[in-house]
Amino acid sequence: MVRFILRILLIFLLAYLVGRFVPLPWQTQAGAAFLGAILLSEAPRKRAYGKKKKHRPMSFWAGFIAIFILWSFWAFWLNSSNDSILADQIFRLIVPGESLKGLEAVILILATGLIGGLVGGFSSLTGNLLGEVLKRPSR
Amino acid sequence: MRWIKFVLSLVVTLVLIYVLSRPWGPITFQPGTFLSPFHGFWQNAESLDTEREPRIEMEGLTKPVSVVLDERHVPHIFAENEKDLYFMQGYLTAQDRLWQMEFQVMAAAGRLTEIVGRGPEDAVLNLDREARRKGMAWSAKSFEDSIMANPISKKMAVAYTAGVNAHISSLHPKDYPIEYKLLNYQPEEWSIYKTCLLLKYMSDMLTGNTNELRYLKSYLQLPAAYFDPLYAVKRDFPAPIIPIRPKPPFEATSSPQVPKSYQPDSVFRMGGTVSYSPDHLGSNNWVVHGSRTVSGNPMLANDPHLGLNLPSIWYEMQLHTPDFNVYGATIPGAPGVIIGFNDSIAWGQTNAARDVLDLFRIDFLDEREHTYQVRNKLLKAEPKVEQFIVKGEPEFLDTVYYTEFGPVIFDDKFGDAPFPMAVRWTAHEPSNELLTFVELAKANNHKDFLHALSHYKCPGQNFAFASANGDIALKQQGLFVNRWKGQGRLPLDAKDSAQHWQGFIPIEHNPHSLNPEEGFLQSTNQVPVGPEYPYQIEGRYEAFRPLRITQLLEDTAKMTIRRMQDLQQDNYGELAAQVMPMFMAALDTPNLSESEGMAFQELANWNYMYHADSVSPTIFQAWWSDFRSRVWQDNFPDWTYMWPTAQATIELMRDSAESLLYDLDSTSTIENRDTLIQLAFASSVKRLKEDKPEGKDWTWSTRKATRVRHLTRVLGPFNRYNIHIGGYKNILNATSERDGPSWRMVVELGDRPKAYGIYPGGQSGNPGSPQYDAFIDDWAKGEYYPLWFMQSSQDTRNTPLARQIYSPTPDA
Repeated sequence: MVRFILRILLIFLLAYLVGRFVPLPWQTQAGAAFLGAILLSEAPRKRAYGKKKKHRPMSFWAGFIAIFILWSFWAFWLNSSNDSILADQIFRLIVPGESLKGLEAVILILATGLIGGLVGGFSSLTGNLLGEVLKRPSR
Repeated sequence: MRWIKFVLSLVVTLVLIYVLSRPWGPITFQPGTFLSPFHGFWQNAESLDTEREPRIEMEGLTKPVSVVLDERHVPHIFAENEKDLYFMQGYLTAQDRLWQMEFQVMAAAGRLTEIVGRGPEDAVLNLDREARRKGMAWSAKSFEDSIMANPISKKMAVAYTAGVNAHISSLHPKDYPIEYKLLNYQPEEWSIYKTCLLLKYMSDMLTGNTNELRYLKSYLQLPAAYFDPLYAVKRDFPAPIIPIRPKPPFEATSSPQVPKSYQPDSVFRMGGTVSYSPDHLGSNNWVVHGSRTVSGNPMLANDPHLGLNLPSIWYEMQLHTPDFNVYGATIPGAPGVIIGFNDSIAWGQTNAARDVLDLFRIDFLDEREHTYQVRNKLLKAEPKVEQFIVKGEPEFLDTVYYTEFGPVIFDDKFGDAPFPMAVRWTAHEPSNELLTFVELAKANNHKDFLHALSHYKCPGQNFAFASANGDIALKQQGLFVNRWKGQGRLPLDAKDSAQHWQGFIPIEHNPHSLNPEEGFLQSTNQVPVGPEYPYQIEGRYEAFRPLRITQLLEDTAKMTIRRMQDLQQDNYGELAAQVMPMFMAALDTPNLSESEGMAFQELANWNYMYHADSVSPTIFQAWWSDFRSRVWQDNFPDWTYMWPTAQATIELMRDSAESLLYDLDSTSTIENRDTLIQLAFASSVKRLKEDKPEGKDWTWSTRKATRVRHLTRVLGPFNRYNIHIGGYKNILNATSERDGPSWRMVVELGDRPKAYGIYPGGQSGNPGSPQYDAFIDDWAKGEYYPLWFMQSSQDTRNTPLARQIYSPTPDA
């Protein structure tokens, strides 16, 4: 669990630093999750009673949660200082039709988090698997 | 096994990233980039209280420049020299309006397909092809050569371009305006050529119509005896721009006579499609002499009517150097102030609306060489292959043939024309309009004003002028063709040299008036001069606003700023006032239905005011347009025909109640004027009743539904709909469905100019900024902002949003 939280924090931090201070395309966000997962990757160990620890799905969730929180929080932050002016219009552009009475920005923030989370999750999973492969010979 | 899992996971991840990096939907943004809060649209969600750095280093400046941003986000630039001034004008304009500047240039250059694709039914591609076939790029190139040949305009254009590029190169993709992210493309470098294209875009908007084809269709449809009375320009209009005087103050150069060889009947057959050119763009300006104002100072008002667009066509600015101090409306993409004032003078513009573009029939003698005959000589047209990059599709190629007249705009490949037609247009003539605006900014008096105008050729404008030393003036300025009567209304024949342009009217013979005895001057797109002016005038002219403004100016013995503003807001329908007595008299009142009776009662009490909450204009407009259709639809089934103007229709109504023109082909009876009026009344009231949407009413602003649209037209949420505002076409407050007063300005000259202004938009081009549409509501209400004409950067009469110093980089 500690490792899980550490992983979330590391990916969050890497992705935040890359996003804020490195002017590179958005795919670097996936790179940050990937890198974070490699750095804290861990080969599966056998427990005393022989069951594998389910850490691989956990590495997906580490990336998902880190990027979900980062993206939705950052979107929320930018949106709140903009009073949802832009988010309302973008929502109506993507989803033409009825007004959702103030929920437009919230939905867009969650959608932002979700897309980011999926990318972060899969990148983190991939990174972890690569880490396993690379670390195994040393064991 | 682990490798396989890794590879599987990697593939899933890459596919996900790939899919999110692909263009999505009809708008084509990349979802990944677009949603990422570090890259996409969230970055454009501007903070409402951005902090602005007080000191900024700027490469390219020679001296520190002080910029004061006032609370309406208008930049006031204080520079030590013109180079730095125009550099900062370019930089700050790009900061607020980069996307718009570039998009309009792409439209002028015929490159919109690169951004939005071919469009439904190739609509966008056809716009692009027309721009190229009109020679827009070709004329922009020659414009650039003229600018670069003059050291003053060169310095101005070079500095402005450098400023725009300084902004562009400071941008990372995350900083791009939202439209780039939505439409998935990147800004290009700015250039002087692009500034030229932009000014040609204005020329095209104001003078680029190819109405010859619409006139031709109407001409072929009517018996010859009807055509001239219905379409000829009326030179005896009671309120021309330049007051009627017994004699013009110059000897006219010879005017050509209608050549005997001009027989359009035998030369033209016509099929095919034509492009639509709106003819309702117009504007007001007027100046009042100090003898007719309360303060004794002269006053100037101007409101150019243009398409209501967001971002707005105008960007407000003050430009100050030790040599001059000017404030006004600028065009994003061009240096200088276009409409504005300085310490000593104010100037404003309306469109001259004179026909300066003609079509010439070219008969190519052979398909391969494209030779054609002119003046008994054989000439060869130069082919130019135009390449269109189309978003998401293969490129498109079009060959444009350049003749001695100009490029072939319509032929069997474009416009479905029965024969090739070349376009000759004064916008193609070499000129340097930038000099006009450099000199207007510095002008001190009437003489300087005229000198500034002497550089100005296209688009022809009515320049109103007032100066602190008490002069008022109005000059129609531009390069105008010295025509024979009616020349160029229909296409001309290139083979016949008598039909060619015979020369231009000398610029010093353009209509002009200084301090007339009436004490005021006005221009509202009407015919500029009376019959005493020795040259021919071609065009399509406004006949209602001039009567109203002349009346109002005559009635106002002592003018105030407030009254000037009220006149700009005036909603009186002169057209309705002329038509209504004939309409009402024709109705068979005892036999009206209940709803017709109600409509009649409503109209009977109408004072012809098109107020936003009034119902009468709704009924009248429906009635009038129904009537007009009934009169003309048999002859002219759609808009590809040029319909006679409203004025010509009213004259027909006055002159004849029984003309054969009234008779409908579809009935066996013979209709006259009054039967059509009755039919139109019944059907328009019926339609209004049926159309009446639930919970909505017949109030004028609801029916008119004025909207301000984003330039792309396709990004609906960036439009602003249902603006609550009165007025209409042919009314001083000329706010129609999609056009209106694009910059209202009132200036009183004196020791210090006092000025008020507003435009239907906002300083920011970013839909994510509250400044995007900040002025629209106040504009609709008819309010004005006092314009803060600062005397120095230390001026403390108002509290600005920010004061900034831009200084050159230390080693520069």
